[in-house]
Amino acid sequence: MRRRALLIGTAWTTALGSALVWFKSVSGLPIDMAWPVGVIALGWALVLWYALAAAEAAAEAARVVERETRTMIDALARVICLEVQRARSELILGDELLEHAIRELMVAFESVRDVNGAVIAMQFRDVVGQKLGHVRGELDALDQLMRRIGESGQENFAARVQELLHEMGHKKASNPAQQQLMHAGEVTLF
Amino acid sequence: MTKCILAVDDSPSIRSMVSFTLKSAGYEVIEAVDGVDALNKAKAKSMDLVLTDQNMPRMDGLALVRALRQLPAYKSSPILILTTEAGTDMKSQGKAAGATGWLVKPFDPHRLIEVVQKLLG
Repeated sequence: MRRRALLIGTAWTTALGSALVWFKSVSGLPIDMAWPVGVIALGWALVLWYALAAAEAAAEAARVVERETRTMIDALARVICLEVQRARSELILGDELLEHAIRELMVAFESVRDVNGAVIAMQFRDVVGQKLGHVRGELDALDQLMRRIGESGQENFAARVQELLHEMGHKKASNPAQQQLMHAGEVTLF
Repeated sequence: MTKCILAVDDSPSIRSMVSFTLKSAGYEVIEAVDGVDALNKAKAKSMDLVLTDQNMPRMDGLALVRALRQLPAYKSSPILILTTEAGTDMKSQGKAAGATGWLVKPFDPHRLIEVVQKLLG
């Protein structure tokens, strides 16, 4: 930017100076040097104004890019945090289910005849297995999202990230084991 | 005549437990690993009741219910969905698909036998 301003200023001065020399040589008239100096100064003032305006525009563009980048990074960070929190909640619930299952099994084993209790307790393993599978799936999807973002080119980066986030939101599979302990064993006949 | 029940679940342990429970109550149990397998078996032999999981590969429980209801032999047969999902939205989908009932895992074997006996008379 500065180089461009300098070039313009130099070209302006050279052109005006050359024109004056030519005019003086052709016309033979004496020229008061005050007004040419004033014109040159005006030219430099214009060049300076242009350089300042261009610098301000560049700074504003940089601020916009920085804001958009920060917004995008914030959106990504929010998605990642949310997914990690969800995964953590699922794992905690999985732990609770396993603990409940173990308690039930211990009660069942105290009475050899309590096959009923043992069958109920053993099914918790299946429920926990589904939850863990779901969590793994969510983390895999997040991993894929980050890789695809990393592979995206510089062109339209922000738009591409938004597109991928939107795609991920649509693809999110329902949690197959959405239940609390209180719903276990519920029977509904339609 | 011994009633025949089709037990559908992609989990071998769940299939074993359902089979063990229902056989102990005197029923014949045929196992299927997913919806596609179940549909083929249901077409090959007439089942008195179908007990299916919801989340299975190839064909899930709701799709199986809809497919069975298209078959003349299963238009009014009892079809139960046995699943980990307890949400009212899913239950509504089950009802709309034509399911007879919705059971939330883990099932109580005594309760399962009660429900089956009630539906099969």
